[in-house]
Amino acid sequence: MRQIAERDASALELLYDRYERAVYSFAYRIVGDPMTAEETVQELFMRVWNNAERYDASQGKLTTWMFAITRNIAVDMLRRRSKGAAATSVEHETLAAYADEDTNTEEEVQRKWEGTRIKEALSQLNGDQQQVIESIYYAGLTQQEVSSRFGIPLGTVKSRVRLAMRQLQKLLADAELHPDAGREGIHP
Amino acid sequence: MIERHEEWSDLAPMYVLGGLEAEEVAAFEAHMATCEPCRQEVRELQEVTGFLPLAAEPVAPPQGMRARVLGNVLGHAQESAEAKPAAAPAEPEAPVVLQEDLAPQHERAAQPGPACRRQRLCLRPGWKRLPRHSHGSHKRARVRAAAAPGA
Repeated sequence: MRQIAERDASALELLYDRYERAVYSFAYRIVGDPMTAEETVQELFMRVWNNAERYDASQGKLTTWMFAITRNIAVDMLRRRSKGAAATSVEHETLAAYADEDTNTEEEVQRKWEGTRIKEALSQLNGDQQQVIESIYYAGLTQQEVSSRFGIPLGTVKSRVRLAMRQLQKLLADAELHPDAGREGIHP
Repeated sequence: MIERHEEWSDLAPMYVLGGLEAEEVAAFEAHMATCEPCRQEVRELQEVTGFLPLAAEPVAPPQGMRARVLGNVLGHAQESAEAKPAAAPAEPEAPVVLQEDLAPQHERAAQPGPACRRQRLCLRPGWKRLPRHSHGSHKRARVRAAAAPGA
């Protein structure tokens, strides 16, 4: 990141190559179409390029930082796209997932392993808990929007989120997924 | 008006997941600025949300995306450098989720524009916030043009 902050284009390319697939897949998961997902990735790397000096490795993982920006951009795009339109679908069955044929680096293998663990953990939540996680985190709804869209009292939405997050915490701890599991060893 | 610590603490999971409105985020972050237990709870919960993106099914990026994205980002940087006087500081093009320091609440309230409504991720405790009202729309137009069938 220091090199990127110093406007080293090759460092940005290296960062891009390491995270392209992960951030694209995440963006696609949120926005649901390839063009908007690509726009999200482009905006992400634009921000990284212009603001890399503000990333502080001591404060957290690089992937966490990049994923948080990615979600922020993708949710903003969803909002703009759905403004004035019908309710945004929170279903993602139509996602065009392709074979993960390029999982060939140690880091990608690690991410894939972590992805499997988090999917297992999510699948162990009950349906109501999965719904609030899906609607808020992946579909970008606020708690009030979830409440009105699904006809659930706001207090119930809050309690479902609390329970879901506690359960995920426990399940991930049991799976030995912890913050250091994916901590970046390299900071381009 | 929330007065008890437990009530603030109850907001932490929703804050971390991204389900609070901008005003609620601002209030919670103002509380966290003076509440270490809440900051700690948020840090722990963020360890969970940090893994959620990895639950996305792997999707192959479109052909040529690398060249388009890097070309636009680095090309734009070159254009900017040429367009500005050498001494001019680089201006952040877009909002960024950054770390360290909580921006003052009055500053957040002063942020104009519809994007402010969704500031949650820019305002996490210990994370700096930068202006986030340029979204590189001209760049997106380029992406759309380049990614369109037959392009």
